Amino acid sequence: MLEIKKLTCGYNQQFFLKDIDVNLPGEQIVGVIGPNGSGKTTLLRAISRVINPVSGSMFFEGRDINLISGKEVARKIAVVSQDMDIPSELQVEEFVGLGRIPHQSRFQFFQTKQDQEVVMQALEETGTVKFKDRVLGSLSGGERQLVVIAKALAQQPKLLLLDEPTVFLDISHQVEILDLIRRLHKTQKLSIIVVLHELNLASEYCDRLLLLNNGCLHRDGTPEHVLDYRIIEQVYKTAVVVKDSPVSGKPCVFVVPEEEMNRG
Amino acid sequence: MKTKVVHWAVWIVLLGLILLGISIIALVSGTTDISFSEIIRLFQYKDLSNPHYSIIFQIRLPRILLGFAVGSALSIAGVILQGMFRNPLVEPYTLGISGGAVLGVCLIVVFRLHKLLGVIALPIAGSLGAICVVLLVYFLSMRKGMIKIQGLLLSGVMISFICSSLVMLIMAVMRAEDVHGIIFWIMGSLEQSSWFLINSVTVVSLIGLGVAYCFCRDLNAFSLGEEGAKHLGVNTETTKKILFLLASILTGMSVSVAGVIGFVGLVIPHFMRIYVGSDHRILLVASSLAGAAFLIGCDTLARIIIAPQELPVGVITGIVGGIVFIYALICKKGVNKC
Repeated sequence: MLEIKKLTCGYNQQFFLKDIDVNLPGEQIVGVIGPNGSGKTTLLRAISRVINPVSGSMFFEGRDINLISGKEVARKIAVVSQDMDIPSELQVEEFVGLGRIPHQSRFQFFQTKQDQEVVMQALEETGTVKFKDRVLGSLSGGERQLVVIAKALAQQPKLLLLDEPTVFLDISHQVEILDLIRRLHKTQKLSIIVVLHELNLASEYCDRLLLLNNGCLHRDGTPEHVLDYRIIEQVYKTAVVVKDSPVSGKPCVFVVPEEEMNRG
Repeated sequence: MKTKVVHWAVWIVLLGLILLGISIIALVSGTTDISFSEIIRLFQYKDLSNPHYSIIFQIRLPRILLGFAVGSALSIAGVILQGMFRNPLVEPYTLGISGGAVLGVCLIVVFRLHKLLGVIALPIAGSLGAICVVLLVYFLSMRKGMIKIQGLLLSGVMISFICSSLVMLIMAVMRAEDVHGIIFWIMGSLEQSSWFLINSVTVVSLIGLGVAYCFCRDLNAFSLGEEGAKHLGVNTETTKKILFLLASILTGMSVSVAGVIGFVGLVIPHFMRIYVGSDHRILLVASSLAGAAFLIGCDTLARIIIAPQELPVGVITGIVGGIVFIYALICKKGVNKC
């Protein structure tokens, strides 16, 4: 699905990502984790072609991604980004309808029946039909995130990139969003790359984790393989204890406060 | 979707009727009383011997047409710029585009090039001046390959100041008989004797609307921010360049023919956004109609308020537009607290 070869990119001659080599076949939910400033968002930006690589190449479905037109990329790859402007006066349905833009020609001024069906389907899948007529400004954080995902689904992508979709949400909404992502992955065969800050959520929901550190790919593998306490302590420079979750058996990371450290 | 189209159609018809109504009022009002039925007769029989014929066809009708063209061009430019930058304060004036156009036209007038090259030199000079300012503002506010909106507004305002100072400099060294004309023109007036200029502004503003409409989806995508637009496959750099160019030509043409008419590009798109929504598919058309109606209305007011003398229409649009804008801000706060 997506093959990244020796990717180096950054802003203003400063390199944020160095020599990233990853092959993502697509049948897994891939989580990208790492400390702040380790290049997680930059990786998503490079894949969605917001920034151009300095060197290296990326192949999407076997084709060099830089040779595909922006519009076609937008039909295949959708992004749920963290710092997107949300036009608060727009209605939910109109907003989700913007996701159809890559499928419409310059001279198509109205939505076709198919456009409307896809938008409706995206609303249904994300459970946002009930507030399709409300304006974005009146939604809660969790509802807004669902709507943003619905807009991405309206693009009918094959690959969905999510940049910290659970940030600022309470646990019920975190779980709701990630359950939705897993469900979409299963039912729609949608490939997922998701940046997550919360290591335990990443462990629970992702099949494979990419651990970035200082712009380099530090470790790549299953959660059991990546979430080793020695690796976490090395990369995050924080003492942790890793135990298996009593629910799923996946690794669970526990922080060790200073007081506890002094006691033990 | 169906209801939305109906909603849009209702707005277009409504604004069209308002435009028609205001145009008729503009035709019948003035220092000479000409009744509506007489105007109909003039249109039917083309009675050249009737003294009212020339008042209608050589004074009032050209003004209405020019008001339509300039009002619509300025509103479209405002919609385009506000859509690109997602900022309600951006318009041809705040970005210094009008200032550049004024400077361009002043230079032509002071060197008397319009006598040499013909009257077409004025709109071309205006557009070139506008384009130069846009390029300057664009490069001044480019940081790390991205445009920063604060930088854009600041450099726009500064360039606007520089341009108006240069215009004053030109006026200070100019022959007295030219100064009077330029001052009146700068204050904004729809009085224009050249049918050629009136026709060309009309054509340009209609083409401008058409071109802008082809970019309505891109403008809608820009509401998600530049990165959001890129994620939807919009080629943001090229689109921005084309739209900048379009806004400069529209502004340059308007300024060179009708002078500086402020507030139309700021107030009209703002209001239309409140009433018809921010979808550019309707916003562009609605703003164009409303801008035309607004300017024709203001011009009629300017003609009759201290008749037989005339006020510069820029003064009226400034005062009316500013007051209505503040009123709308207060009302909006009361209604939905945003």
